[in-house]
Amino acid sequence: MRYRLRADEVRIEPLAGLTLAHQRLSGETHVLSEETAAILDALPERGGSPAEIGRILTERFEIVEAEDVGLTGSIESRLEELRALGLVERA
Amino acid sequence: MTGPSMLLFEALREPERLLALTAKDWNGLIRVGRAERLLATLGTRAEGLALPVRAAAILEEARLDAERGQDRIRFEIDRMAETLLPLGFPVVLLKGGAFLMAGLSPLPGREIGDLDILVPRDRIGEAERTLREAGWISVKASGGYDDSYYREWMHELPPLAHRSRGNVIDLHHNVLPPTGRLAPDAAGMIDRAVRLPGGLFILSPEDMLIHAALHVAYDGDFHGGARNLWDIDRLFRAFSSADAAFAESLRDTARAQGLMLPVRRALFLAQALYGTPVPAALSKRTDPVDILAKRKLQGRDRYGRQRTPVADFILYARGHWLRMPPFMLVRHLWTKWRARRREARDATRRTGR
Amino acid sequence: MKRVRLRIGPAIFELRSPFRSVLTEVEALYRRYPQNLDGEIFDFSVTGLPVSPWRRFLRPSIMFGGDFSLADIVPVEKRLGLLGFEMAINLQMALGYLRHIVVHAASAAKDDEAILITGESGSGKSTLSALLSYQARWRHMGDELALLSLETRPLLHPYPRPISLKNESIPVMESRAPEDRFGPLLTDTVKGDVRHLVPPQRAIEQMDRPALPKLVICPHFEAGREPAVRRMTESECYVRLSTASTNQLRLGERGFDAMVSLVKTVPAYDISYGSSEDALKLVDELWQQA
Repeated sequence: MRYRLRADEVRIEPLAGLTLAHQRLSGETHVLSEETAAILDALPERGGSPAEIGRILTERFEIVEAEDVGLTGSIESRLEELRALGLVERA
Repeated sequence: MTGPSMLLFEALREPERLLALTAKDWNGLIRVGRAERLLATLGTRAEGLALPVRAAAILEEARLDAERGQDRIRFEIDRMAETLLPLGFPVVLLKGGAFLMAGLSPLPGREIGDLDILVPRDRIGEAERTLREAGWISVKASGGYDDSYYREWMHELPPLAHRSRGNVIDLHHNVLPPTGRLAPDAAGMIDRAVRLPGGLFILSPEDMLIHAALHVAYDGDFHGGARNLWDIDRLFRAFSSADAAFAESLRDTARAQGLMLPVRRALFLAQALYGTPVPAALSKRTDPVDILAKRKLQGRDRYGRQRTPVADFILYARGHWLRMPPFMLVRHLWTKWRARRREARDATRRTGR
Repeated sequence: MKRVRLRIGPAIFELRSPFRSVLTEVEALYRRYPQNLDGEIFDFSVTGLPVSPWRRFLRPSIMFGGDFSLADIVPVEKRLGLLGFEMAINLQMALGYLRHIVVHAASAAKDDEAILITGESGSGKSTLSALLSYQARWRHMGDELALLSLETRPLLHPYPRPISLKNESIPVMESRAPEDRFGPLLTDTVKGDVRHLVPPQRAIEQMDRPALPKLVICPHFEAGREPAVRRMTESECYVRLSTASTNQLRLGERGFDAMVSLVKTVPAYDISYGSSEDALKLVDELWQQA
């Protein structure tokens, strides 16, 4: 499964401290944890799979052996949470 | 002197009339517009007119708020569609939701409160279960009088509110309660429904107008009627100009379901308020209910309060009579008596009567 | 039925009630506010009616109604009618006014720059606001609701209704402001004693003059406490102001943008203190730095 940001409807606003994500249609503003914000930031514009995002994060943060720590699975469950909030969609 | 209700109806029909209003007229119009939930609609009708600054600000505020509300419903529809469409049965958007997703003529400035949807009767349990699993929760205590009343006697389930967003979905299996004297053909309406891109459905133009008319004529006491009639006026004008044979096919569709009277009554009232061009084939002779309803619809004072107690009472009793067989009516009114008195007190407090 | 119209900042209210004496109190309290509003288009109507016909005369009790639902206000005794109208007016703003972001906060200005003071009831916000209001250097803008414009550099607009003093802050201000600017002392209200203080005339004369926010503070009063200052992060400030707003969510993206812009451009501090003198000193120091 591939995911992409609902770019027309979502505004990401990194603030000192935390990142905010505003869904224009629902009117809700979500406060994102650091990890979630990193996942959204790593999400390629055309969309990406949890494994691809995992690879990007692994490089960016110099994590080793992504699969061993269950990174892909945890990214996928985060993306599903974001999907329920209308921040990302399945590409 | 033109009462504030009439001012509202006239201004909706011919916004240029707003240019001639005094401050006192405006004050009455604003109160009535808020009470009828038509102020934002008036705001869209009045765009571009050179209005007094304070009036323009109040209309603009209402219009923008209604647009935000439409966005929230658009989002709720998106989430609901994702939840229900995989189940494989048709999901039909009713009223405001349909205007929104199909861009129909009553939409500009339309306040949309709840999301009403119609599903096939034998799938409604599945629809409810699936929505509950996806985060919508019932706002009526399960097994309580209201909950049981809905399940036993109504054409819709108890409202489901999303647990974090609070937006409400009303899940229907018909457009009128099955206990009333009229029986709209819900299965036929679903068969005739029009598929939108994305997979949701809306009612056919004829059924959409019939549904709006049923609400005007059978929503108990014509409360909220001014807005329902505005929907009807807009829809009738748009459908008639898109299809010269619309009035005829509306008549045939209504007649086949035994719903000519409510359609005629609604069109009569829409014509009385907004000048809807109703052809002779759909017009009717005025009866006492029309007169009471018209009096009630025109009867708000300059503080937006209903000032027609007699018409009010008769129409309230009539609404219940139409919706229920007599034995149920007694049971229902008995149970509701205390609750209604409480509600009336609250409503009085709200409107300041 | 007696009718009174009031203008506070951008909003005009029409109050109606058969309790003439209550509206006479309202008129007296607002006698220094703009008059002659009869020809105006007003924003909100508020009614104060007897709970039942009997209760107009017998243990008189008033219930309130308005353009926007006031079902949450419990009826009040006639002697507290003034307070009831104040609450009803506030609720109309909170529920129905959408031309600005409405924030539950106090505000004051120096020239055309403003301080925004946010905090829960009991935090010392109202007292601090009252203290600033009668300091010559500050122009009072509001003690309860702050109006933030929906722009990329949002401006604060004054909403200088009479300051609602509670309990200990009443004597504190009685020694600092002239007697003829006070309303009647209302005892045994749900919040204890309440007395209204009409802000200095300059605050009323300049109630259409907005100011650019320069500082946000979140006060914490605790008797005897040593003064302390902590800088808030942008996100902490966002969450504080956003949850203190009655309408930001309803304003959608415009509300989000304005609020984000505010917290990104204006420094915010959490301050603690144990005396009025310390509070004023901290505010002055932070204002200098900002």
